[in-house]
Formats: sequence, C-alpha cells, structure tokens
Amino acid sequence: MRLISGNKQKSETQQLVEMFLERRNERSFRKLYRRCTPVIYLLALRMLSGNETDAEEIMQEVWMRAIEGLPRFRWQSTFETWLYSITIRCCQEALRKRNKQDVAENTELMSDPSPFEKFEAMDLETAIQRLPDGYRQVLILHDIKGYTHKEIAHLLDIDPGTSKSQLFNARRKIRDFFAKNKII
Amino acid sequence: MSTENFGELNPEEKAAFKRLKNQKMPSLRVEQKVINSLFKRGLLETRKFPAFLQNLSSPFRGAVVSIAAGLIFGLGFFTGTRSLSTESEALEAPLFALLIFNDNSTPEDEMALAAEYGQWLQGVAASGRLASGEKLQNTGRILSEVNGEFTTADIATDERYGQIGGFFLIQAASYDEAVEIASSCPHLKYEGSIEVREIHRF
Repeated sequence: MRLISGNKQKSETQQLVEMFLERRNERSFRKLYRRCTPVIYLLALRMLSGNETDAEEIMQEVWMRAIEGLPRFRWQSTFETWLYSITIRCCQEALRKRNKQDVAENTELMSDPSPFEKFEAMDLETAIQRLPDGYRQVLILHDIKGYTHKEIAHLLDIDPGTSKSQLFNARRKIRDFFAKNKII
Repeated sequence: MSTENFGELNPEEKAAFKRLKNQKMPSLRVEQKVINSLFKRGLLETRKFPAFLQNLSSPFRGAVVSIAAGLIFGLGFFTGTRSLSTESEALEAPLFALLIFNDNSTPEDEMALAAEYGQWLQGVAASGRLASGEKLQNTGRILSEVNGEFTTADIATDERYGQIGGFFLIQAASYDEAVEIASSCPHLKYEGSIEVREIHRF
C-alpha cells in the first residue's frame, strides 16, 4: 500500500484526522468529511453503476466504520487509501445485497444498450457503468485511481492474477462497447 | 479505441481516462445524516442543551419553543430588512435561499434548536448578510392542474410536500460562502437539513 508522502494535501488530511481524534466534535468531523468525501463518493458512485441513492447510503456506512475504527488506524497507508478500502468493502457488500455475483466470479457479459440509449451520447463513464461488477471495480482502481495489481488484490481480497485478467476483460469490453456504438 | 491490443491503454485511451472527474460531493443532506448517525452511536461529543430549557416541564417547554421560534424568525425578518435598506450596495450581492427541512425532529430537538437560533441569527445579521427569514406553518395546500382540471389537496396527504419548515434569504459572495454560513445554522444539529439555492435574478 502507499506510504504517506509529505505533500501538503495529505499532511492536511492527517492534521484534520488528528484534530478530530483530539476534539471528537461535530465541527472537526465536518472538516474531515468535506475534505475526503468527494473522492470516495465518486468512487462509490462508479462502483455502484451510478446509483446515487445507494452511493449516499454507502457514505453513511463508510464514515460510521471509519470513525469507529479510527483509533486503531496505524497510518501504515494514507488515510485516503484506508477510506478507499472501507468504501470498496461497503460497495461490495451492497452489490452482494443486490443479488449480484461476487467480484472474483463475475464474468457476465456487458448488457446491450437499449434502442433508445443508442441515440444518446455514450461516453466512457457510461461504458464503465455497464461493466460487470468485478471488471468495473478493477478498471476503476487501476485505470482511474492508478493502483497496482498488487494493491488492488489487497483492496479487493483477490489474487493479483485475477486483477490482471479482470482488467484485461474490462478493457476489452470497453473497446467493444465503443466500437459497437461507433463512439471512437 | 483500437480493438487490436487489449493489454495496454494507448495514449488516446489514457487521455480519456484522465479526463474523467476525480471528485463529486454528495448533497448536504448526506453530510447531515452522517453527523446524526455519529451522534446516535455516541461517536461525536454529545450536544449540550441550554440548562434553563432542560429544567422546564414538557408543557412549558412546548410553549417556550413556539414563542422562541416566532420571535427568532420575526427578528430575522426585521434585522435583515433593515440591513438591506440601509446599505444600497448590499442589494447587488447574490442572494441565497436557505430552505429549512424538518427531518425527523422531535419536540426536544425543536426546543434546543429554537433556543440556539437567536444567537445564530444575531451573528449572521451582524455581518449585514441576512435578508429575511420566516417560519412556515405545518399545514398547507397543493395546487395542480391536470388535463385542464384544477385540483387542491392538503400537504398532509402527500409525503412529498410539507417537509419545509421555514426559509432564510441571505447574502453571500458565492455558493461556497452561502454553504459555509448555512453550515453554521443550529438547525443542522437537530435532525434537520438545509437546502441552499441561489436566487435567480432577471
């Protein structure tokens, strides 16, 4: 996992975490929440195929777990990475509740767009949303968030080889999708 | 995109991924729900209600709440109007509506909320930003016209309506500043939420 760097943004996050742990009040939490939430919310939104209601519920669960577990957080990764891992776990649980297959086993084909949707402007975000859960999660973490396969394997609790194959398939699906819809 | 190489992204594809957004903030309501949940689980410092209100019996507390709410919103309207009329440049500043939603509030919450509104309003009004504020009655009617037929209904019969308990109009230089001001409103602490919307001026 990534170690803490000395750049300004991350040190500010750490300061906010420490301030919260010291004060435990609403004001210090709001500052921490507003700094970190935009990134993990978008992550959850993508993981959950753009479902805002589910992503908002996930935010509540993520912050509950984070604040409960914060005293045990040992800064072996950045606070953001730790939040990502919580977000991902919450998303996986939510996806399982939707009766979808487990991330490591999900090999369903991407669904075809409806005739109406074919006339809409398709973009990369839409294509990502259409990916099966497992493909989508690995693609988001690797190609958007920049994680390595080793890190993804740790975050998703899968084998690095599975991460590679999921990414391979995800990219193939994206390209097929664009080719089929003549976007690129 | 090329369909030849499934392994690595080409420069065009990398650029497409880079153009994707990195951040998106959920609505303020989510933030408040998180705060409320943290309070319920005892993960944030417990709110301290004013002692003089805690010592009152329920019937008296109800009366205090009603009177305080009326006075507070009345004070907001008076001071705000006076501030705008005496500073002409203030009329040019963007105006924002703060819509006050009554989410899951209990009588005890309302009591504490009303007690803190006074201080909050004084602070905002002292900066010359407050324009007005009003509390809405819990009753109301919905008007609509469908296929040429005009109908009315009580808001209590439709859960989509009747959630707004009041509103403020405030001045702020930007949305961020308006949100910052709104975030200091004690209403947020007591199971309530606030929607911030800029007034569209033609």
